[in-house]
Amino acid sequence: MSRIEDRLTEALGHEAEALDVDARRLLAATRERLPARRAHRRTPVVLTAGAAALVVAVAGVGLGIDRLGGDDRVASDRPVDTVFTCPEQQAVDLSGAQDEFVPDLRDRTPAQVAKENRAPRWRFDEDGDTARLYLGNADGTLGSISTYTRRDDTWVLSQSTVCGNGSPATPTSDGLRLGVRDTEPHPPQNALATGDRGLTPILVDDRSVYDYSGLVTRHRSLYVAPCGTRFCWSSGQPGSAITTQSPTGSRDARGGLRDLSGIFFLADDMVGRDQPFVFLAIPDQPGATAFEVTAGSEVYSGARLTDPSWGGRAVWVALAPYDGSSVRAELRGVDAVIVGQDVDVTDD
Amino acid sequence: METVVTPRSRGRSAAADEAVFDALFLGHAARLTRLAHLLGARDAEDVVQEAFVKLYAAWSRVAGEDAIPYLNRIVVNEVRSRARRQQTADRKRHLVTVATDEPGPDGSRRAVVDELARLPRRQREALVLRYWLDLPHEQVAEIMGVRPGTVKSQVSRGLAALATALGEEES
Repeated sequence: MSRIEDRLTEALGHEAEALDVDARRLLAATRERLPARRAHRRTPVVLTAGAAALVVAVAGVGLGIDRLGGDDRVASDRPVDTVFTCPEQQAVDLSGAQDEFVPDLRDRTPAQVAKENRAPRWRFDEDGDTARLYLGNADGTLGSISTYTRRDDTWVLSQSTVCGNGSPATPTSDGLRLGVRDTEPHPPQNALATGDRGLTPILVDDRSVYDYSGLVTRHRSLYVAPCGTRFCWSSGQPGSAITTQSPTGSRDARGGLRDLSGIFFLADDMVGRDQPFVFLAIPDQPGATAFEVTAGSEVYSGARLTDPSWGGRAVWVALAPYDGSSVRAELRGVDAVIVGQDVDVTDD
Repeated sequence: METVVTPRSRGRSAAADEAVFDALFLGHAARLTRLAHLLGARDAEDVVQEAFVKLYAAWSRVAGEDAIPYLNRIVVNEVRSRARRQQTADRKRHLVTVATDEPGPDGSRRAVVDELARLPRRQREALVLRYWLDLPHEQVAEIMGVRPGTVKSQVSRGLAALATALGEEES
């Protein structure tokens, strides 16, 4: 065997062994995936026992009493928030240009609207000639508010606001979500075990993806920890993680700056869609006091991440909305730019 | 020595099949995850889950001794197709590819792995299957869906490219 073959064999073995795989956890996740796929085709709706009481209560207070009774297949009697906690909302175009989310009550009951949109919770409030339908996630957080006005004997949809950015597959482009979240983050995924040698992973961000009706379809939690001479990054949910690495040193021409945006996106979801944000990381340097990303004409401040177990290593991260405009990143000291780089976001 | 677990035998109950599936998973999931990782999958665990989901769907027609090569093929194909989709997605969404570091001058293992990642897909597949799984050319060819002669040439070219990139004279 030649020297290059020896080196390759040794490097492959070392790289493979560095990846710690919890086969039992992975099996459990796969097992959940098997029946889930079948269930998706066969039984799209889960019945809830307490739903009928709420339906009857709602039906008793206003119009459409006859239609509301009896449809208990989706709605829950658990409460739904009436204010948004999601970081980004948008108004729904009700002009007829889209039909992905039209919570019309003229031919349907609130329960039916909830069912059609797979909303685990809903709430319908009347106040004189107006009414509001709240669709919520399983944890009670609010996904959408639709407002109706009374006309003759029915409710006419007047406006609707939903969580998200209008894309059912891409995460929202709001800023870094350090310490402020609207859902419980997933624990660090096993893939981070490449950097899990007694070093504490830091939760960087938890980012949700919303469907057209503003409900959370999934969320992915991003962690970082040093691993050897690199920082290891892992973004995901139980049983599914995307990993990558970035340098802990600044010796290269870019000062160690890396665009890690892709760690948030599932490749299948992004086909035909635009990247909504740019997520950058750069290793800390002596004297650095700030990390700023300029996207178009807006400046977005980053954050410095470190932990006592990291042995003095630290990394700066920043997230900025991306709309095709120029992007520049700067690691700054008190009175000087330590690293200044235009980010080459390919535009072909 | 790996324990060979077969997916199917005549007359076995459904419960027994489930147990065999679990044993097969526990016996090979770690190796397959590492294989996917070495082939460049960014979501290696998801690739392996997908492979076993497909095996589960094909359970009744996968003959016993074919299970392991079947899983190897699924993993290789899954990594391939995800890489293609990723390239398409990158073009569509103007996403910058996450760059790897320049290899260090010290000839470290990391430099070898980084250079391996820069090789064309087929060369990378051939080298990983040949030198990590230690498979003969014929089995590598079966998994990659090419002829053994093609595997030999891909291995040769891959080694030469690595040697050049790492500043070594291939002996």
